[in-house]
Amino acid sequence: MTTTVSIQRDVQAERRAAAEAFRRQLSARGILCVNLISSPGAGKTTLLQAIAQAWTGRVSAAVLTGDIATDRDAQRLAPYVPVRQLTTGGTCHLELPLVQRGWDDLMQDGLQFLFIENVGNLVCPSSHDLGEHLRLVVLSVTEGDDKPGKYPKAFRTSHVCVINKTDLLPYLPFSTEAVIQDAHLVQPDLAMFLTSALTGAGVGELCAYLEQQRRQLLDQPALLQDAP
Amino acid sequence: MHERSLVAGLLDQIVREIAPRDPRRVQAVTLEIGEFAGVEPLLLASAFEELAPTVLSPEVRLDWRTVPLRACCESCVQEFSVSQFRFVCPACGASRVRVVAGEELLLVSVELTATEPRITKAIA
Repeated sequence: MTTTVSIQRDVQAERRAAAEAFRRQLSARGILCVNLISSPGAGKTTLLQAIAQAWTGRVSAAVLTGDIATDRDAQRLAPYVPVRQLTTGGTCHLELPLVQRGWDDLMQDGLQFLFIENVGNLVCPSSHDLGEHLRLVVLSVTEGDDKPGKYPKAFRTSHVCVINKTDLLPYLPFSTEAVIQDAHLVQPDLAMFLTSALTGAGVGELCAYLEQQRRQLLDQPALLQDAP
Repeated sequence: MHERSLVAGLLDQIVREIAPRDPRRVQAVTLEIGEFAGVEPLLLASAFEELAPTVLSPEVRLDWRTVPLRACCESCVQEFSVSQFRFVCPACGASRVRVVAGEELLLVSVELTATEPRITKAIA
């Protein structure tokens, strides 16, 4: 004999609530958190390096960088920003508990931005809220201009899209207009930026946008009243 | 492949909140998986087959159905089925649309075996 018990509950509700609590905790400290997702090799680390260099002495940021193995990204970023490597040991995306452990270790006063560099993967990271205020998807021009429609969840759940490695555009059959159009069919509100993290082109515009987003966060006093 | 992690979270919730006394009573679990939940049902099913019998009934069964992606146009309030992940209203062409179904991973119900009658000590 069996009985059926109706539950009707979102399996991810607990995770979402935990992410929301973390986001409020960061908001209360005046920190804007940005979760960077992309396929491997799109240039997330180089972009973060370029942002950190552009902000040197003016804006304070810290990075939690995720990888399946090695601390290579943390080593690359260490000369520019406080950074902790999150090593997932095989998992293809970051989850909140690992991020929070890294944050507990990295936390310091006076930070204005926290960047979470996700594991290179355009699929699974799209389903995990890490408490970020902004999700930023990086697409490099060598990946082809048909990606937004092929990885809709990554683009649908993002707020910002950075088309990176624009210094290579003269050598590739890549249409930035096609990407922007394709991306906006998936997410009309996606803010688009063109950068070359290598040469620094476009990084200033992206930095200005991020600073403006943080000012908007600070203008929401309700978020800042929560105890950290 | 994050389905293993989702299944681990699901099992944890079932054990903690639904059948804390005897999770082995759980004979079946029913899920609704949205088309845009970022979950591959077959991978989820294989992770369930691997993990669930270790904490729920050894014969536990997973039933699931997929939920199509549907959205509602913010301009003309037309509800429509989203095809090819193009979030554009087919009626008026507006691109500001709100997803109303198809993003969920819902635990619909669990099936429990009746508790076994308590064996009381025979009074001599």
